[in-house]
Amino acid sequence: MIIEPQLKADLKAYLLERLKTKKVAKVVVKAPYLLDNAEIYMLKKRIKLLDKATIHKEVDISILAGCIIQFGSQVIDLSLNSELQTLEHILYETV
Amino acid sequence: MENLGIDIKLIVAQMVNFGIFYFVFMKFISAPLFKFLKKKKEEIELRDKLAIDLEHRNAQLEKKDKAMDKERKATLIKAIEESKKEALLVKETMIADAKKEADSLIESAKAQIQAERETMQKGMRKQIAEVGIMIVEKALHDYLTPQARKDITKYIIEHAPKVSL
Repeated sequence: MIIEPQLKADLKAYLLERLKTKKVAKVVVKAPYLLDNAEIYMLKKRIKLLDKATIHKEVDISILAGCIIQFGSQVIDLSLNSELQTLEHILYETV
Repeated sequence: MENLGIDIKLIVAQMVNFGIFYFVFMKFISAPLFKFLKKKKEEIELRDKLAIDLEHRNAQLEKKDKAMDKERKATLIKAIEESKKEALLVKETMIADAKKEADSLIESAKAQIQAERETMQKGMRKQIAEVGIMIVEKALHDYLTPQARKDITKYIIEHAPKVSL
């Protein structure tokens, strides 16, 4: 496949630029209330990714308790709702 | 001779007449008549012979016809028997096929009923679980105080598994 020289140069420049600038990961932590620093600290101890990332706190009143951590397309669900969903699934499988 | 009333001439003439008559009779009447009679006799004999022959032939034909009739009847009976056997076989085959098809339909219906029952049971189980959890969620939503939410959140975070992404 023949790539145009101009396009090739542009791609190279873009990739070099991308390698130079280190992006800091952005993590969204949702909870039924705004988590305080102590709770964030505890979370950081459990999830190493949070140490290197910028944490953005959000309030979601649909969450009963616990929190949901979103990083890009990945989600870590530590909410009571997910536990209830698991319980629902167990009920469905065993009743 | 004349005294006796015998006329020689007359006798001679009569004898000549008789001779002529005899000659004419033998020549022109008797022979064709005999011939005719002989021919008639032959015809009658031939007719008789033909009649006998015809009768004989008739008898033979009748006998042959009877034999053919008997044979035809036997063939017909045989054909009927074979047809009966064939019909019986076809009937049995059809009954067996129908039974097989009916069994298949029954099995299919049973399987369908079982599948529908299972689907219904699954649906009921799903609904029971969903309703149960919905009630619990609603209850928790109303029951949990901010402090309780905080305590539960703290507990969850403390007991969360370590994740290294």
